[in-house]
Amino acid sequence: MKLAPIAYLRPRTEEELLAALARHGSRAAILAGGQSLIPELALRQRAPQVLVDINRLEGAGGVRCIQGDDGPELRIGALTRHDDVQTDHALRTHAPMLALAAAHIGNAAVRNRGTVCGSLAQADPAAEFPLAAVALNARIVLRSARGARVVAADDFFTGANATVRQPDEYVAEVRIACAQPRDYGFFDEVARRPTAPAIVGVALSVRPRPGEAPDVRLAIGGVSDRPQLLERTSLALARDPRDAAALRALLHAELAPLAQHQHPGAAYRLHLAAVLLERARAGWCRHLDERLKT
Amino acid sequence: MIDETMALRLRCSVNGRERVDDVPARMTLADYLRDVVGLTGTRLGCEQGACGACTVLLDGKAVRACLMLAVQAEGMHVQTIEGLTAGGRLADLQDAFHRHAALQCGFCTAGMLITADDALRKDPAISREGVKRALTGHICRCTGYQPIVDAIVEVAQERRHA
Repeated sequence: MKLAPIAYLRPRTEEELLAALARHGSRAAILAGGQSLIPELALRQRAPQVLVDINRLEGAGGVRCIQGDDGPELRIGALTRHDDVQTDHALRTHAPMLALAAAHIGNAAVRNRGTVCGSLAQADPAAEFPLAAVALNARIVLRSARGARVVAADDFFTGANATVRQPDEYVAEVRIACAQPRDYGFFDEVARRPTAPAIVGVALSVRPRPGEAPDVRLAIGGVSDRPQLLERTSLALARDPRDAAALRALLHAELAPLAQHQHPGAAYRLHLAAVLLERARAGWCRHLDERLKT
Repeated sequence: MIDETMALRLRCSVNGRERVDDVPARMTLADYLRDVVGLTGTRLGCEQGACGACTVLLDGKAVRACLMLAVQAEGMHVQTIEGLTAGGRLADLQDAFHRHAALQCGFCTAGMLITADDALRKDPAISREGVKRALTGHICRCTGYQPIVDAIVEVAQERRHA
C-alpha cells in the first residue's frame, strides 16, 4: 500500500526541530531511519499528519567518547545507524556488545538506514538495541523545547512500542559507559530466520569491580512487552557463575511471572531463555578461565 | 492548517543525471524512480521492506527504495539496476546468474544483483554462508535460492582471482 498524504518538515537545526515538535506534538512522527515507521505508514497502522525528518539535523550523527561523571562514556547521536555500530572504530572498541546485537538486525539495506536512537524510540519488544540498552545500563537523553532529561533504559520502556518520551521530545542521544578490557558482553537471540524478529533474546553485561563481586546485568527480551532486567538472576550470576543448575532454576522462578499469559508459547519462550542464559553463562566462564591463564 | 498534499522540490542525481522534480511528500523513492523517472527495473514487491526487490544504491549504499521517501534523496546520488548495468559493474554477476539459471521470472533479480555486488565489495573473501546471510533480506519465489547462491559464490572466486 501507499502512504496516506502527509506534510513534511526537514529541520536543519535542533532549534527548528524542537519548535516543530512543540507545535505539532502528537500529530507529528519523527522520521529517522524509517525502517519501522515507513512500513507502518504504508500499512496505515499509524496516521500522523506531519513527518519531521531529522536526517539533515546538524551534528546528530556523531559518536563521541567523553569523560562522564562515572568514567569514560560513549555518546551515540540521534543519526548513528546500525551499520555504524558494526563499522565505526570507537563504537566497536567501546561498545562491543552493541556490535554483537547489530549483527542480528535485518539485513545490510536495513542496517544502512536504521538508527540506534530510532530503535530505542520505537521500543519493539523483540528489538535488539532496547535489550542491549537495558543490559548496558544505558541512559537515554530526551530533548524538547522545555529542556532535556536523562532517563535510564530500565525506566525508558513502558510497554510494547511505548516509552516515556513525550510527543514534543526526541531521543537526542544514548549514553553508555565505555567497555573496559576486562568487561564481558554477550548478546544472542533465537529467531525463525536471520531477518525475522527474535522470539527470545538475551544480553549480558559483566563489569568487574575491585574488591567486590562484579556488576552483572542480565536482560531478556521477547518474554514480556518490554526488555527486562533480571535482577535476582543477575545477582546470583555475580556470586557464582559456575552453578548452571541453580541459575537455571532461579531464571525460571524469576521469568515465569513475567511470561504469564502475555504471549502464546510462554513455555517455549522460557525454554529458549534458559538455553540463551546457558550460552551467556558458559561464555562468561570461558572469559574468566582465559583471564586466569594470562 | 497543515497542508498534506503540497508538492516538494526534489533535486537529486539518478544514474549520474541531475534531476529536478516536484513530488508529493508521501511518494516513496521506489515510486519516484518507476513512475516519475521511468526506470522500472526497480521492482516493487511488498512495499513494506520484506522482499528486497526495490534495493538501489543511495550515495553508494544499498537501501530499500520502498522504505524511503523520494524527498529524502535530496542532494543525493541514486543508482538503479539500469545505471549499474550500463556501467558494466554487474556484468560478471549477470553472466553468472544467466549460466546458473539463478532467475526464472526475474522479478527479484535486480535487487539480488545490487545486494550481491554490495556484499562482494564489502567482503571479497565472503564464504557461502556469508552469501546466504547477505541475501536474507531478499525473497525469490522461483529458484529455491541455491542457483543464486551458486552464482554469487562463483563470482566471489572469480573476482578474488582477477
